[in-house]
Amino acid sequence: MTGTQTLPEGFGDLQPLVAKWALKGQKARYSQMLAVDMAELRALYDAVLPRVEAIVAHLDRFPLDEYPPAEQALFDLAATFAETAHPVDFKWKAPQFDDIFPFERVRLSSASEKW
Amino acid sequence: MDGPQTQFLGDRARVKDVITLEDKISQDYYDEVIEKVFKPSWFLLGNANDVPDAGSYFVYDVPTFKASVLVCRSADGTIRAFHNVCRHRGKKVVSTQCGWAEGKAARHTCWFHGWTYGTDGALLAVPDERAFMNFDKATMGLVPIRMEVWEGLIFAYFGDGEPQPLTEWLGELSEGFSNYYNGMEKIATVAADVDANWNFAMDGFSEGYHTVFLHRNTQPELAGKDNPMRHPPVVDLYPRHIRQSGVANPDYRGPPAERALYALGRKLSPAVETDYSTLPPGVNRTRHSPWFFDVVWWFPNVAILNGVHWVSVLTIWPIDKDRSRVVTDHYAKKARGAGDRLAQAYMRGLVVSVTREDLGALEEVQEGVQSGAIPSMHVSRQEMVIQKRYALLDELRGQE
Repeated sequence: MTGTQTLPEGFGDLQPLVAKWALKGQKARYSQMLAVDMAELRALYDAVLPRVEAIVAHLDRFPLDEYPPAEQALFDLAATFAETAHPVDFKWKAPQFDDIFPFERVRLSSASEKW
Repeated sequence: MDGPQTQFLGDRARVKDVITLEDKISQDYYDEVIEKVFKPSWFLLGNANDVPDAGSYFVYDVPTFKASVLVCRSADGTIRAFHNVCRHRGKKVVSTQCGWAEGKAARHTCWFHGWTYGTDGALLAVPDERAFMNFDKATMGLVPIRMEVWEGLIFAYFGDGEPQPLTEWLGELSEGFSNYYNGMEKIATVAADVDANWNFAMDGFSEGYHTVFLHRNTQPELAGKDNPMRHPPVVDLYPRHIRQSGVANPDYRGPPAERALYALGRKLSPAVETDYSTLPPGVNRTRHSPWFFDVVWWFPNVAILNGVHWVSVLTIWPIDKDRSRVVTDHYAKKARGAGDRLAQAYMRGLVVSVTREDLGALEEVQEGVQSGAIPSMHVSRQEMVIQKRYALLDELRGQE
């Protein structure tokens, strides 16, 4: 759980997003994407997108997949942004379309749940 | 304007552009295809990088053969496959959830009665062993499954008797893929059981025609003005398998988050990478440009999408005549750092939404066909891969 984790110094502006969006694994991230409306999804997008370059630069000071807790929370936040960005990227009116195969019937496993 | 036309090379014997439907959903057809086509085929189960270390394993339940396959790497680096079935009373040794398990373990214990096996399948420990009469532990290892590794990919064979050698079975496609798949790591598995016949599921992953329409919301920039229907430049129709190179939109820009993330890491799907220098000769073999990715169909049930920095494997497992398991495994070149990892995250998030569009269509096809409203389907030249599969199935069933 990274929900209450403090982000590394210099990323305090993203701290309010941690509780809801610093999630581990693809299922949790995609589920959260479906649970919110576009305004909230766009708020995450608008906050993280301008910071991804700085996030990557900071995380690359540590070995990949072996981040300390603060960096892990920062990674989880950035990865949640990346995995939920496409509805905003494509200017959808909702995080999914009505006629699409139900997410509850989709199994995400293996690498999907590792990081 | 329908764009440039496709060059079809190879064997188009017996292909038909009108395919009858009622027979395809019959029990007889299904049983015959499983017996005559699936049983004597090799099946792609994974990438050797899915079991990177000594003791790494995965369990893949294959519903077509009602098999649970334990694939594990031993301390000496050898990868082996076994039936994941305890020799004692037949319980699965490693429990699976929704057809899958993975992890790392030097030995595998069946927690029904504690029987324990090594990564080489040997039965190592039987609690209260002396209570068993006439019992030779040395002969009671896990039952092996025929398995081969080719260019870093793991194939298994479930038929009776001796299979055709794997490289022979791969045919012309057995060469040209060196140092390609073994640079990839798995980034996602997106799977579902769908109420659809396996052939219709394969049909859905056998042409690019649908992408412009079904994926209009998730892949809006796929088609270029020069080739609005995405006609592939070349399709190689081999006796069993097929390779097709797919075009890119030369004006592809991509939306803002995708652009930002693919600039910090490798350009993954659906962005267009124009540097082909790392590609092996078997991928985009004509070095066509603008190019997006190749598709190789490994008959009967796999479509593998080969990009510059990514690979997606789509596998259809028949469960019964009206039900299939669709497994999509997505790979990307091993991440060098956070930029690559976040690029992978973007691709795999999008892939879930794209795959959900595909899955929904499959069930609606099944319902439509089952209604009996239409006797046959008309498929275009751009759906030649569909034509070829049905022709080959007829040939192997002994029908002309």
